[in-house]
Amino acid sequence: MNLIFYSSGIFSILCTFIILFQDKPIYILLYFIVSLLFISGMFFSLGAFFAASLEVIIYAGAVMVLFLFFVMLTKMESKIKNLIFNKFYIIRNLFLFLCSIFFFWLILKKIIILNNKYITFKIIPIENIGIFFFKENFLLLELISLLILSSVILISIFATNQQKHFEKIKKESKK
Amino acid sequence: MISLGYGLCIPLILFTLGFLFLMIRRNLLFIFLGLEIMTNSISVAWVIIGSYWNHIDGQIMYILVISVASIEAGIALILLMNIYQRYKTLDIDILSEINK
Repeated sequence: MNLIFYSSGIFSILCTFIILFQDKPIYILLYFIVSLLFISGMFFSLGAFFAASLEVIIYAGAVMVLFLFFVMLTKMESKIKNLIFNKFYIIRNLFLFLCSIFFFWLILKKIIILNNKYITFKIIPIENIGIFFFKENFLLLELISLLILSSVILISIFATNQQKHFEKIKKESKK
Repeated sequence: MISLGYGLCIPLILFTLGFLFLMIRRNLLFIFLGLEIMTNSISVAWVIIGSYWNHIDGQIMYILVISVASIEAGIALILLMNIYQRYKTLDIDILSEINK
């Protein structure tokens, strides 16, 4: 369990590190999906089975597919340039890199004290999550469902506005 | 036996990588993708801490965080579609100078 946790963690970090140097948008999204699958492997090695399966189904299976559809619909393939080593931006990128290392070191000082505490592999029964939501904390479910409903309404309003605007542009170009 | 300090370093590295990705890119879609990387790393930290205490609270926070993240992804992407169809570009350097 030790080896699975650390190796999948290192591979997910590697996959997100590769994203910085990529040219094509589809490759960026695919590498991020692979990183999410490695993180799901991390969750499986801890015993958090519900979170692991939710991550694969919802995060990698719905949200990232939405991003992929966006890239396909806007046809972004030829319009991306990787400017990370461009001479115009290199000082800014170096400064950002040093700032992020400084931030990482600051928080690492506080986290590394926790080295003597250990996580054991214990399977947490999944029905406790259902009992938690439906027995005592029903308000959380209601809040999430309200949010999802309002987002669906918003998205449908934006989409119909977009269609009307697009038709207006078509009419004006025909004239 | 996984040690908690080393286990919490992994979401920390993911957070800084997401932050770097957000600051370096010029396209609006990848700026939003950097935000998604950062929220995902924080939810990883939640689950790790929840499994250290043998609670289910970590996984419940995970459910809440990814539901909010998916909602904001949907709304942000439809807004980005509107911007793309109006201005034909998603480059922030061009978009910030479009009124000058």
